[in-house]
Amino acid sequence: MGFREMSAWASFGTTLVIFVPYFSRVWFSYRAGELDAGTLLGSLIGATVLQVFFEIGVHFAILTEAQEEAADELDRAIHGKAVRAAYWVLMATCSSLVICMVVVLPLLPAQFNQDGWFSPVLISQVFLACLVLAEAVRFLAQAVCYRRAA
Amino acid sequence: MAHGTVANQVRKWRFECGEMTQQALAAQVGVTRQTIVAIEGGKYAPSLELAFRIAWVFRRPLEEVFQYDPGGQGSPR
Repeated sequence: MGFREMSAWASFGTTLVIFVPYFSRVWFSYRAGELDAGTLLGSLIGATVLQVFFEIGVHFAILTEAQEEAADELDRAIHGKAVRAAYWVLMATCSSLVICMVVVLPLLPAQFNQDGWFSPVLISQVFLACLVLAEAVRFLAQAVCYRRAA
Repeated sequence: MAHGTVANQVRKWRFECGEMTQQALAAQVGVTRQTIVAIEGGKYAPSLELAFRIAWVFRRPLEEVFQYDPGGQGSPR
């Protein structure tokens, strides 16, 4: 397994390890009514810093197994394919959310919005989840393409 | 539009050229060994420039190293 494939698997893994607990925590805080901007910002900064440290650590470990080589045309083709996949995921999820917020939610009876679905803090987290999902898809698509080419 | 496949004889010509390793070929044409593995396995069709570079390393005409099969899977349609 080459450096770039290992790197893609590692980045996919660290994204899941950091952001699945993060979004779980956000969801449970929201359900408990304890979701506020300060806690959220702290958690987000913590998760980001943790991911940077994880990525650095994992990539140092990978460098002991495989040497990094300059990107060639196969790497660029795989990168392009992965970015296109991530773009479609981002577009599909964000468009669905916008349609849901603008068209579907206002049509629902008032009791469905008692929990504050339109809270800016919660909406920001849903859009962040779309972004993280697109990144995860990008890493996964890269890893799968490298595996198929091997 | 019909999708053909690009077949290649890279493995054969590596053998003919003094049993050249994939790593050696990769270094001569300026790509990674993984790219040579993908080309030999028919999982990646190289750019025209890379195909010419590979043929040039073997000192063979391009069509002796790479062949286009318009029907795909080696069967004419």
